[in-house]
Amino acid sequence: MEVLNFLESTAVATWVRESLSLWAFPTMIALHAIGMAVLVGLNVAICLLLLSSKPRAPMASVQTFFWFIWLALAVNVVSGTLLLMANATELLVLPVFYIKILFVILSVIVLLKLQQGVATEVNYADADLSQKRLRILSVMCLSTWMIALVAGRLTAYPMLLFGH
Amino acid sequence: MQALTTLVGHYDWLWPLCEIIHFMGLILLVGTVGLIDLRVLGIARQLPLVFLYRLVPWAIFGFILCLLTGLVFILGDPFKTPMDTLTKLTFQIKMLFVAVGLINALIFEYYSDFRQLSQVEGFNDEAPKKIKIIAGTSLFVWLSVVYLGRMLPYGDSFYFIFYW
Repeated sequence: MEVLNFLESTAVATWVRESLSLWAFPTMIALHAIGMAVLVGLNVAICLLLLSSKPRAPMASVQTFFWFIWLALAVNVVSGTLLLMANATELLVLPVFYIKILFVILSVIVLLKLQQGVATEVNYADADLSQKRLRILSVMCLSTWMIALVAGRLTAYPMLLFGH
Repeated sequence: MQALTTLVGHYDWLWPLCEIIHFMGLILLVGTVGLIDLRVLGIARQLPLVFLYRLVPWAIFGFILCLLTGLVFILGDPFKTPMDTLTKLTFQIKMLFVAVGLINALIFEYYSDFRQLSQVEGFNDEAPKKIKIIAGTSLFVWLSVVYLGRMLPYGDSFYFIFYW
């Protein structure tokens, strides 16, 4: 608990939490929402494309979109860290918060695998095997992001999960 | 309307569930529309647009999810009247941006030759400048909608924009 109190008492955490400035808490939370929309949105769109492509789209070319996904992830890591520091004693005691972080990490691992799969798709000798693998990864990615999203929203409603 | 307010007040989980569905809707909308916009702007040129147009029904589905849950937020809030929300400047600007986003999408869908031309498989021509302006506007508008939506709980805090 001392560590959490220390995190909350740092100058940057105090500024994010207590400043009346639009650039403090509201902007951090808005950046987190925009980052999430781009990160998860583009990721979901690519997964849906992989799951729907018949006849197959030249998926190797979607690699370029991953730059935007990684940029959005960076925005969310920075804004998320600042938001977490500002409310460390509230968030880091919630089991649902750890579920969110666990599934975000899992989603990013699946996303990396998906990017590798898409990049090497053209080199696969067996196109059907490659497509099947990409489809499995897409379903995994959609599932892990959905759980992370639900857990993330529920961090705002701890009383719903643990009673009043 | 009173029945909806009572329902939301009675079931604690209904409001967070609507928020989760609203987030999922915006992820579908921003992700699929964003992917098409980025492609029109020249990203991943090897990927024919005809493949990406398969995502349009998902964008419409996402918009419908946001619209329905958005109505719950306006009409079913047990602590606010609909007028409280409708008279908020942030909400009004958000709705203005939603309208611009929809009109922009309709112009692209029904009044541009490019949409018809790019329907052909193998079409990889660069989009004309006016079409790129439509795609850029779409990206800006939908990300702004996410931003304004997240700012709604903080009131019309634009007044604090120059306060650090």
